[in-house]
Amino acid sequence: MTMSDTLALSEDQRALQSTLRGFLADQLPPAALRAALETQVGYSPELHARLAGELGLTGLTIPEEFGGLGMSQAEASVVHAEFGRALYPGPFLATALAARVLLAAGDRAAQEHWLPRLADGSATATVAAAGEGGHWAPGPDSVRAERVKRASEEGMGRWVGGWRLYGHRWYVLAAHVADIVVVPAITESGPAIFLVESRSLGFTASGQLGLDLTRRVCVTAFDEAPAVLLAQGDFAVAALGQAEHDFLLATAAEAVGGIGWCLDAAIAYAKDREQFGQPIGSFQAVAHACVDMLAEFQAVSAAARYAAVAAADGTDEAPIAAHVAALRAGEAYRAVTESAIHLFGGIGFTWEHDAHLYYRRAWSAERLAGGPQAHRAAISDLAGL
Amino acid sequence: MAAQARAGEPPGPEIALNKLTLSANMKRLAEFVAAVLGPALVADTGAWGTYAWTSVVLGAPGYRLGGGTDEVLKNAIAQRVLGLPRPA
Repeated sequence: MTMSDTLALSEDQRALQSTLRGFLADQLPPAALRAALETQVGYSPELHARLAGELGLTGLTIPEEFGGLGMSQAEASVVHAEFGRALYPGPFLATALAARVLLAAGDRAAQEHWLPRLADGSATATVAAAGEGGHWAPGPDSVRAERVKRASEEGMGRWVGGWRLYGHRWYVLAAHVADIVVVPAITESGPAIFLVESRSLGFTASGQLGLDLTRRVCVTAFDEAPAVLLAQGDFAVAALGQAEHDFLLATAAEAVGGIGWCLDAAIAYAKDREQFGQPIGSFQAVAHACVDMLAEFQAVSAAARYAAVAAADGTDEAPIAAHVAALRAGEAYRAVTESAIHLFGGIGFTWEHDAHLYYRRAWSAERLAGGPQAHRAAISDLAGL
Repeated sequence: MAAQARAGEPPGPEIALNKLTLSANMKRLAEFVAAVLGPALVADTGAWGTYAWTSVVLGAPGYRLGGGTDEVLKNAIAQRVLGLPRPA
């Protein structure tokens, strides 16, 4: 089967999409979303538990041997799109990314302990990878890791036991509720990935004031935080790279969902709202804006789906497709949410209107996923330009 | 328009071009600060002069609405400045 055959949603994927859309429309209507945002954690743990338990979504891409459903990024993109459409504020994406690093890093003991807990929703996790500039690549401000040097039975001065981490990571999704934090750090011998339990002394997560009201981010501080080494060297770099690409795919899929919501809401309003004695959708300026939104929806849907299927199939072009999808999604999501606010006119420009929540998400998500300059540079490098 | 103003004449319908330009520039300014500040624009790092720019991002759509939408102003300019016919 060629890739083009798999770009359309399969029957199972369409069923997953419609089940989840119906569930979220029922369980997370706008009033429930706004109530959840006002709580201390910013989401409903009860609803999250149902998404984990009844629908098995937290274990979607975790292999069956660790208690998950063993599905691919192709299915994950369907779920991310629906969560994006509903602006689901729970720690789903953060946990999925951390699970991805755990899987790719290959530390068997950590996998056996944590993956089943992440799969059944009894634990949540996140990846703390971005520096203050938002980039995941190692830099001068990377977290440092040092081995604890203490006396062992074999003699003084021998390296035994664990590691300690020092430094900060920014823009960490859902760190305020994460049980474990996966964090890249630099050791004496190069890049590595560690796991930190959030209840450890030496770890703190402080919420950052953010534009996106439906997705909380934190600054995480590691001050002699005890850590478990998961992977080192090229292996660690590759594991983190996979999670970063998954982040791009998820961001693009969420944009598809959000753009779809804006499109549906704008069309419904253009048919319903009357001005000068006729529905505003009969005016060319309004009709053309709706068509532009549809065109953006189709383009971003195709780019996001192509990238998700490429990642699921592990093709060579998967990394470039992920950056292309994230780039297109970022630009289009901002344009469409701005257009939706414009079409809603006076009511769109009240802070109470839901279109604003999408506008905030669009601007925030594009920057947290690296921003268009970074995607263009990555595409240029990957294409050998 | 400047000569008109200096001569003490009231602004004509072409003044609406100024507002269209202002709205477009606010949008460009939001894009520019996003490119310069990156994620520090969307989540507060505590650094001075970064997250505060969100007010431009959040305010930009309003400029295209308040005081006449872009579309309403363009219709006015088309008909009253350019002398184009009104829609049937």
